[in-house]
Amino acid sequence: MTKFGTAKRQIELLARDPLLLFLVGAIFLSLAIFVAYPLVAVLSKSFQSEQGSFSLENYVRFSQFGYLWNALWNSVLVGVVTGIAGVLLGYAAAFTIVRTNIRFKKFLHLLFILPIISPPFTSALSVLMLLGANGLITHKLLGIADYNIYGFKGVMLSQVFTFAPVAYLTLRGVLDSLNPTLEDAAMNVGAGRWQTFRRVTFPLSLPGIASAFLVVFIESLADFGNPLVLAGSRFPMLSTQAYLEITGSFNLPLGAALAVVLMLPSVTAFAVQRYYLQKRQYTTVTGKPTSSSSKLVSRNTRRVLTAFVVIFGTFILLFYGTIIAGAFTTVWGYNYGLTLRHFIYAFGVGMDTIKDTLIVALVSTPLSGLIGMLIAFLVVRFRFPGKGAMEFTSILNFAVPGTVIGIGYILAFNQPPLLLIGTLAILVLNFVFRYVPVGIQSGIAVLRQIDPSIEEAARNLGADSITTFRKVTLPLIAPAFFSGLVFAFVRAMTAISAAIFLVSAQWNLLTVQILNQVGSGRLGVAAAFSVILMAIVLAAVAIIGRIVPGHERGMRTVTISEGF
Amino acid sequence: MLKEFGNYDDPSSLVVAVDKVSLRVEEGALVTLLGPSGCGKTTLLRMIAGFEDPTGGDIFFGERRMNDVAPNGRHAAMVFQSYAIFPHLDVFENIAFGLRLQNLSAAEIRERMAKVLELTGLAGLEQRQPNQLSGGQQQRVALARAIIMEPQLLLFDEPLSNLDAKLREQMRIELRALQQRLRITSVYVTHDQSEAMSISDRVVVMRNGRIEQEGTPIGLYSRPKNRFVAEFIGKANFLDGRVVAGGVEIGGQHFAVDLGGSGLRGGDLAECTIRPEGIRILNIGSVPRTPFAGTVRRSTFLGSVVEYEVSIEGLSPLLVQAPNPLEGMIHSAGSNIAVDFAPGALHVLASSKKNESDHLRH
Repeated sequence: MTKFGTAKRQIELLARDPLLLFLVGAIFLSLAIFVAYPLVAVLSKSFQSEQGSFSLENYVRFSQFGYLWNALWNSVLVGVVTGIAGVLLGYAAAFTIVRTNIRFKKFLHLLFILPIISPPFTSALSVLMLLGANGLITHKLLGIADYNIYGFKGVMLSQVFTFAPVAYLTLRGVLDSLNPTLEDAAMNVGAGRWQTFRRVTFPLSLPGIASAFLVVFIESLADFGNPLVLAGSRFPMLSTQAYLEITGSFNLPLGAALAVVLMLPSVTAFAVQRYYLQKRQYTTVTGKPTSSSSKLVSRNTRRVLTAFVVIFGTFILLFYGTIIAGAFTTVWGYNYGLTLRHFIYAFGVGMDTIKDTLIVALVSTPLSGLIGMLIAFLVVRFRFPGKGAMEFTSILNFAVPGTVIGIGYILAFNQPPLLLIGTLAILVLNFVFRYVPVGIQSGIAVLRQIDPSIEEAARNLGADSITTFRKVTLPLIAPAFFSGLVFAFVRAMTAISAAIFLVSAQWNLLTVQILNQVGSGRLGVAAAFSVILMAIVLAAVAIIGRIVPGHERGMRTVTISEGF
Repeated sequence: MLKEFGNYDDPSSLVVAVDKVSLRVEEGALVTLLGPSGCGKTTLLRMIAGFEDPTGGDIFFGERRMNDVAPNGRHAAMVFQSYAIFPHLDVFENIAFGLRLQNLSAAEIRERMAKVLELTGLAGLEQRQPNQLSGGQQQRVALARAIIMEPQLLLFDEPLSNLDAKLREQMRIELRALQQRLRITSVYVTHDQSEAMSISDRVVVMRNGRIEQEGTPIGLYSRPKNRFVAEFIGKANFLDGRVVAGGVEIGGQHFAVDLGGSGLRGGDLAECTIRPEGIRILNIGSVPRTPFAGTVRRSTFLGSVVEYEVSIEGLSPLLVQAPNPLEGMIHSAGSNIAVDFAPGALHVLASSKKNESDHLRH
């Protein structure tokens, strides 16, 4: 049968269930409008002159202006260094948790993932408060006048702190799935501890390490908040530069061209990660659960690892303690007296923003979860033409930096019939399609584990396809669904890079508000907003965790899929 | 030897996996640890390999105390249940893994490899990746990786449990032949009694962390110490008898049984056991002595034997296996038959002694 014939046959089969055909069509249409079209808009805008005619002038300017080259170089440099440092820290932390019997594992785990559920630039705020010109450490303790934390070192420090936990989660998943019997086997034929690690544990986790590096690299490149706060004018970076071209110089075509340049390394890294590395992962899961061998780690190694984990954890506590302290401090750097006025100000001026943020997150989260599960269900259980394209498009948004998506949305939805700028809808749609990949990834993972014969059994006993989905499939994937929801909610509450282009006077978000406060030097208010934001996020995670038993594990599998 | 798991600050959480077990393995012998899951056999094996530390007791290889020797210094090569094939190495490198650590010359590795590949039937597969191997081939790689070390002790952790039935039988014959040829002292863990019987010099039956009985396969089968061992190794009938001069009386009939060493006296209750194949089926009236008369309740054709469930007045139902069934000669349910016990087939359980006190109290 020809390719076309197969496609026709598949559509005919699908058409036996009209609802299914409709769903497939609707999803294709919405992915085309809200994922593909904005990216195409960025691409075509980047080839326009400021007058609107086709031209290569933006790319010519890029190659001529040194500071644009610098921006690219700086972004990639920071990405690589952050990736390496993040993977080193993440691997050590994951190895300690998985392969030793240290105490308070659960507490340490929660501490390590804390940066993941906070706004990505809280650490920038901490760095500023601790090491800035009026910083607690630099100014107050060490007495250095006007210490300059801006530039490479500030961004680096802040990003390593923000993204090492991402590497930790990825690598923890890798080490968890690595059968300790293999280490037993190596020692059994005469390998010492170090030899076992070097010849078995390390090579087996190498694909995971490479994968974690690329994920951190992608996140670092896409990061917007940390560079905006800490890069400073003499250390331009791509994501912030694109933003400044558009909001500062109103040069949309050049901003679009920068966005395209920003997208290239991200999408390349994503492609390598997804199509090369993932196939090389060694899964050594066997039926029989084996006790983790504690023989791999000698007493001294264990001491070193414990010390490392304690130091790492202490830094995290220090960073968050600083934010909380800052929220209650009169004027950070000058007057360390206690006050509540930042909170009074935040709740007074910022109440609307808090409400807006919650509305956007609460509306977009379930939508994104549902669409994600639906796409996962269609992709895993049915055959239809364009299935691969559907999966690819829906996951694409995770690889594309938020800045690019934000620019794409303002370019794509600024005229009728899709005039959405300044509305609630544009924020919601942006979040829905940006975090749909989370639901898809966890949904696909869970559905692949569910034996189709369970669904066949339901059909065999007389249930139609909708009843089967409702009564059998849905309950089975519910934990993954809810953990996907937690993740999407956290992300919707803490996102900044795309959202900063889309907020308006009517609809503002907490993260944007925090950045504005940092920009105008009101660190205390920024800290108070951060504390409020984190409190909301933690409360939401705790509530969903209470309602859905076993979401812990799901949360982990979900977060691992970040960046894919 | 003793092994407890759990938190020592909280004694109630302690689980005793291996409870004061003492075991001696003769040089060159294959000893099987047999028991249901959770009986402590794997924990015992892992203590020998050095992956678990005993809470109490000592492990000796020959004259050498091994408790403080690291797993990689024990020369006790293990074949893992999951095979534990290194997924990032091909067959050759998997097998050569231990030799490479000893920095042997390429020539010597090649030489030993050739020998082992031939022994295990893996020649020609050296360049394969682990995911290109069948279950049986993976099993052979795991075995080859262990024996190429020329270990002083070979440990098997349910090595055949992941293979299908046919291959399992073939592999156990090969394993036994190989072990006998190389004369490597071996400890083998399994929960499959037929595997234990066919492969071992001696079998150790374990339950709840303790050794129930130890002996040769035939010794255990024909003279089990207690009900657990009798039932775990094959099928068994249990009958209540009473000790009389020169034997036991069951259902009003006398049977000659060797009671030497059991300490039972005339009049004591004796718990007797007999294997299904130790009971013969007779045509009524064809024997001089009066056998038990009974009725066939169930008849199951199993190929090489027919299994009957026979009810006899005054006794619990008996399981009987008749060999070499011929078409048209099988008794159907409801038929009246007579059964008799083959000479020497009846065995009095040593655990009968426990009944003595009960018996006196009544």
